[in-house]
Amino acid sequence: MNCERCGKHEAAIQVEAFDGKQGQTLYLCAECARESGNSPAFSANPFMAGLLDSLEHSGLKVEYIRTTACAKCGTTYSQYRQTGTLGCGACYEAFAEKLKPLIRRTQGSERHVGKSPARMQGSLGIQRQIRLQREELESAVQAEDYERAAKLRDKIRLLEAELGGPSS
Amino acid sequence: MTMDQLQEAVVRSRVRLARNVEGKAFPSKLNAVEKEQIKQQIFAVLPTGKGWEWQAYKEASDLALLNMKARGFVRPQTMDAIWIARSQDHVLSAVVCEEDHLRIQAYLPGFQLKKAHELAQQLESKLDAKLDFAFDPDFGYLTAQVANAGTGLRASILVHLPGLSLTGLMDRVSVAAGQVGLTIQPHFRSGGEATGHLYRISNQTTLGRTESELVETLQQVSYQILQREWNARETLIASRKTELLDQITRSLGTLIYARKMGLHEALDLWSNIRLGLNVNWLGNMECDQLNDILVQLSAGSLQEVAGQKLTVHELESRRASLMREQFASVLVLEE
Repeated sequence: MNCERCGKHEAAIQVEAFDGKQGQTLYLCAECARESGNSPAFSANPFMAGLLDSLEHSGLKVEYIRTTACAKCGTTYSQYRQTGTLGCGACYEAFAEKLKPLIRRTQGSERHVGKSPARMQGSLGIQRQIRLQREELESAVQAEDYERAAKLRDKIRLLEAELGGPSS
Repeated sequence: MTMDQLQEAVVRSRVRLARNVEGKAFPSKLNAVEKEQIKQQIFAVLPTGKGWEWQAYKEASDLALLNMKARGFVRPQTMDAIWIARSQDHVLSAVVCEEDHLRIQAYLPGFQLKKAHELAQQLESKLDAKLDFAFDPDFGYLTAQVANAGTGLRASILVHLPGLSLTGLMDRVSVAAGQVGLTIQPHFRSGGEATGHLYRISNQTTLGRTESELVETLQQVSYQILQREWNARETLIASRKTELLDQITRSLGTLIYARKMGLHEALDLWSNIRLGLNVNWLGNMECDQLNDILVQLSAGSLQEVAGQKLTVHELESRRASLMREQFASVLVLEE
């Protein structure tokens, strides 16, 4: 089939184009893909990163690639695509939207079920979570973000109930 | 066929756990000073005392690092300075600031995956009590490569599979292993072929299954592969005994008399001797000794022993003399 943008050349790349609300699958020739910024960065080395944007439901959001970066270490999503190496633990959260489908596809699951650090286990882990949530609550109140504060307060109550409940 | 005979095909077992310190960028984002800080932090909590003596390899000099690579302690692509601490018996090691802040590794000879896993986890737990490891309830332990996230666990065996290779079954075995989440790779490669019929079998996935499940799957599937290997050897012996024996005895001849030897030739000959010993056509050498030779014949090890970088010519002649010395006492038992 021919390119859906210029109609002249043979379509070579399938891309998910976003028109604000909805994703749309387009078949483009190599030239149009490059011009419209939809050409996937070519990285021969890291297979995993190479899979990132070919995932069925992920879509190729140019804006995402250009602007998303980890607030903690500064690694940009486009750097990650090239190297296949994340910069720090916070990158996982920063790129979660892209990493989750990738992990599901390559690992067959997206939820860790194995060992966890001692600090995360049992009542100590819950206490730690409560402490962190309280800190967040404090900052939410300071910022007068009462909606978030209410959510955090509910979360803390649940955790406290868990702590007081039957220990596993 | 006994369990012991089956297990002889396994050269060594390894379990590695990748960990990073909470709140710190991964090594690729650290400068030399920050790496040094991570090193200090980790070395301060490594166990010391009886049975836990550690040798600190400071910025591994070229030769030592090459040897560490040859022994499989360090990834071949590592270029930066790293630190390695090892237990006195060399079973446990901690590699610091390679791809991740910390890689805990347990190496054991032969087929001892569960024991290696147990040892690696014991050390990890000791360190976990003193260091906060980067962890997320969903992603598990956070690592520089997404392919290691979750458990951070890579278990592998190095296994000698001449039977499956020579009968052309390796491709089918690889595909079957892939279906249960395992990878089989040639340990040494020459033009796409596995030199010396040596392969590494390891878990492909690290997330979504518990550590024990990952190790158990590898253990069970490896055991099945070993049984097939043994069947393949029996087929070979039944159909091509003379050719096989000829190949093995000629190999011994070359090893005892050669004056120059390249790596891949040495590996192929080593493989034939190992097969000969396993089926009792050769004698007067233990499998352990043979496994040691596998490490000693590497360029990394030869250069470390020599204490200097060697030219290709020097390497080949030193390798040949190592082989002459080591194989001189091997006897041919089968006529």
